Amino acid sequence: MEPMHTEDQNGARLDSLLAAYRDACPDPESASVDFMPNLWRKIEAKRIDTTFVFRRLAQFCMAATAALLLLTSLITPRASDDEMLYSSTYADVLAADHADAAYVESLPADLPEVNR
Amino acid sequence: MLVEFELIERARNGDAGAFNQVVQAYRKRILGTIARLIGRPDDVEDVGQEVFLRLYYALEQLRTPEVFEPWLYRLTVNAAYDYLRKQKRRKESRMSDLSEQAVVMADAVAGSKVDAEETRRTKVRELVQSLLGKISEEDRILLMMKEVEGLSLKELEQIYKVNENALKVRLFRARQRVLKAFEANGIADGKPEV
Repeated sequence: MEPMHTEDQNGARLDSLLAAYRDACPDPESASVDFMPNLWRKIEAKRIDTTFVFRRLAQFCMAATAALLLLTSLITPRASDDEMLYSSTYADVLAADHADAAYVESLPADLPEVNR
Repeated sequence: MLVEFELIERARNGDAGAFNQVVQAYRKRILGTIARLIGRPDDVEDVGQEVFLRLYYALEQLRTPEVFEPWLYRLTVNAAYDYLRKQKRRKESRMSDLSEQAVVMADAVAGSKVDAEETRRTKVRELVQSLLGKISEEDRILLMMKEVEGLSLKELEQIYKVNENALKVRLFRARQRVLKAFEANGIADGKPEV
């Protein structure tokens, strides 16, 4: 029972110490005269900071967009260079590629006509 | 509530005059709480301004004026916590940076004739601050809000958004740690007079 008793006593002493601390730190009667002006100064400074951050962010986004646009225009094949590719059908391109293969000549002359 | 809901609504809608009135109404209470939480009178106004600065920019997020007070306390707790964390980091450098002139000044102040009551208060403050230095900043603030500020568990629940049982466990552990430091310092046996 002794340790429990001591613990209770210590708890009570701690409580009274904290109560004394409460009395030793009363609410301040008044703040300094600069309290409100300084507060508004800080509010304004933060507003300016926030605006600055957003402005920088917008500038960064614009620069990134411009760079991306430039990069895209550089890597995309120009239409004039590949006019054939975009204006012809797949069959036309194949025919052009194999123009010198002369498949027809290599076929036997007595090939049976399958459609008949 | 120290102010009408309508005043908070006006402040929330950007009325600077209403915001000023809200600050004036709560300034004394908030500065008092901060003074007890951080234990450094010189920095109380700075931390207080930080609380009201956060209030200004967060006011539009306040859903209903009914929860204004716990919400303001939450901002206070967070600002005090941030301050204590920063102080902890600076503590060592401050000790090593203490100039000779500052030491002479401190000696002069200590040696001057000060009111006996004020001396006792200073001792109490230093003692409590040294005990609270033995626990984490989170536990320190929670314990102070309960034991010194006298907030109920219900109010703490609103501030911390943690259920009552979890708060009880944290408070019990924090108190046990402080008691341990209390005993280790020999205060429990009544050695130092406070």
